[in-house]
Amino acid sequence: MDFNYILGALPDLMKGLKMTLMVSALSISLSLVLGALGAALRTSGHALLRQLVVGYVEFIRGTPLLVQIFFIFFGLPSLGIRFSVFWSGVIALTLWATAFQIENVRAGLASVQSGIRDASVALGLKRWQHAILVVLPIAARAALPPAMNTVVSTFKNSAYLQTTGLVELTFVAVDRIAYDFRAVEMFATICVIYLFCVFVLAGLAKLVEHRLNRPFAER
Amino acid sequence: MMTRLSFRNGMASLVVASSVLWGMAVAQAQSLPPLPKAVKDAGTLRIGVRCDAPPFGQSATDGKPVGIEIDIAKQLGVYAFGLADKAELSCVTTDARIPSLTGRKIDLIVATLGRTPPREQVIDYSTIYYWGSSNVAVLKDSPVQSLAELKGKSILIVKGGNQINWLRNNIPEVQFVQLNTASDSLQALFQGRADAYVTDGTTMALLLGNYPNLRVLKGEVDLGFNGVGIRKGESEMKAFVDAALARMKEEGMLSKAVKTHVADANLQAQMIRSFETPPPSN
Amino acid sequence: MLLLEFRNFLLAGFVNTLLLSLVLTAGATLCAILFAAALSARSRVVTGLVYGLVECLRDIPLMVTVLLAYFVLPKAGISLNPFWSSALSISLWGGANGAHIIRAGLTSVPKGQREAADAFGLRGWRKLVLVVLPQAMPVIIPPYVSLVTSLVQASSLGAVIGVEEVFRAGQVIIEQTTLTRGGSPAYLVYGFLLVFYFVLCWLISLAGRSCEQHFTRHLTGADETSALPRDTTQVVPA
Repeated sequence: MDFNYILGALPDLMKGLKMTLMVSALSISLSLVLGALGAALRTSGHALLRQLVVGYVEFIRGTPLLVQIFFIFFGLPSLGIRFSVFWSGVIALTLWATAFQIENVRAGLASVQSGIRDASVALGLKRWQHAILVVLPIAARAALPPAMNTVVSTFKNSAYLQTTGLVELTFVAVDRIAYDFRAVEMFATICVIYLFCVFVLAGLAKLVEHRLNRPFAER
Repeated sequence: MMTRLSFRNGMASLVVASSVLWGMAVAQAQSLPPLPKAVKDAGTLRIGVRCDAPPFGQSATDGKPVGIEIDIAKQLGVYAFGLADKAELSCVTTDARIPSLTGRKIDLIVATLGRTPPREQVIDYSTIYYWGSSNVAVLKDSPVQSLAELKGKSILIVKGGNQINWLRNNIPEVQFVQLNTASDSLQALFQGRADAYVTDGTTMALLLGNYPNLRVLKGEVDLGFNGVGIRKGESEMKAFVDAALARMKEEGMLSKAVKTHVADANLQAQMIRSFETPPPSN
Repeated sequence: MLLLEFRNFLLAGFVNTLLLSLVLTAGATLCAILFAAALSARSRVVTGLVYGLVECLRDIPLMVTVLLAYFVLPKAGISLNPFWSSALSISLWGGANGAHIIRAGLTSVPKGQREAADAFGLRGWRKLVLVVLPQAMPVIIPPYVSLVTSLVQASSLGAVIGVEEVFRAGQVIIEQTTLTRGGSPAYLVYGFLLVFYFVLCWLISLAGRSCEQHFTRHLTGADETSALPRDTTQVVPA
């Protein structure tokens, strides 16, 4: 294990990590927002919208992310739809993550008991007040663990984007191996980096869960 | 005046001549150096080839690999064990071929493997069997007219491509976009993801035939030399492969392979020259 | 039509994908059982080590694990061809995820069941197979079927290291056609592959659903021999 080599490669690796974090952050935020929207559509009264969302979710969950990425980056341009490497990656990751977040939020919404609606009506709350002040806090707490899970998965799946040439962390490692053949050094380094990032992300998720559950904690 | 040859003498000289000739043929067949013991015991020669790089190696509609380098690999199998089937061909990608060799998943690389100093530190090469220069292409309507004008611009190259060093040294501030395959890089050029695309002369000739909107920039990039990849230190294997390649050249097998797999006459002539003549300033 | 022209090539790739998926399912199940057993072991050292390994497998991106197994293992002397290398790495990953599913299922069975089994003289294997497992199955099967579809989808990762499965076949077809004929069939080929994988995963979830029904028939009274009266149907424990 040549540590000097690793030190020499660190600047490139850090550039790759920055790209990984940027793509992940964008995809995660977009997927959370779109996931909530999608779940709202999914539980709406409109049958066509519901079916569309269900169809979208099932298709994304039933196909490999790698093939989805290749379709968006290599396949769509034949139809004239082309995005940069960065945006193809963000779009692919967001489409994938949104499907899972829609399911997570939907499960959270389903956990709200039916009696709550009647209680809101009894209290004279309007529909939107009921949705934001009553349902949202309850559903968010229920949806949080699986949603955070998907957030971490989205971050990990950014590694798939190395196949399209996006210069993110895994790409830098594989690229250097193609020229210098130092597989052990490169993989050891990126494994440590990924583990560290996932650890931090999961820790943040736990923190958010704790904070949200504080009103319900036993005194 | 010819001396009258008695029947007995005539027969005797015929026997002597034919046995000498036959002996030479046998000696020729036996004159290839032996294989390393491990490979001989295994009974097959595992060779890594390209399955997506016409005309060197591509996949036929039934999935079997065909191409010039495939023919070379099969011939190595014939020389080693007497049958073309004894060469076990597996498809390799450009960035996995050397790790596959050093990791003992294959015994030889016959997959458009260019010789470069960093690679020579990790593996050994046979004698060079193919050489050629690379070319840089741009879109027909691109403002770039020469290699020097690529200063500060981006060039598409397949991952692990050996043109990177020459380009870095000769074009200041050039950037690279590295993709997995030649077609990915070509598509990226059409999509405007970079300014130019570099690849070896043969592939470029193929592409120019199919894509009229490509224009090649004048000036040849550094010569590339392709050899068979061999694990470091396996001198027996190297001796065998070198002798086999020499024999193939003598028998004109390489030119025959070019004619079989390449349709365009100009490209044929160019490739035969690269296969048959020795590389300049090796 | 390009797809028809190369249909034998695609078929060979399809067979390899199926083969790899079967190997992955078997391998992941085996690893999951081993990991789950190790995590319930008495020795703190064993539990700690296995827990660390499982966490690493689940936290490192699968793409990295697959590449790692292919490029780094040979340096430790283990040199596998692309098929078995990806089979190993993806099975370990599947096992790490499966272990948690199994453990969740086993712990969902009330303690009283185990005590009752002991009272009947059923110990060890008998207790596990006759009493605990059948009740754990309804909890294990849905996420497990989901894991199996993930494994089938993960087989496409083999293409990155050269496994000749259907995704790689598609890539090679596109590559050659682009170079020798002009034009890119990427939309057609990748679109076809998306539909292919979708149908495959859909079939697997259908199979999973009937599997689930088999294991919950004792709860719904649908079974002829069920002791429950016909009109009381119970909700499957979530």
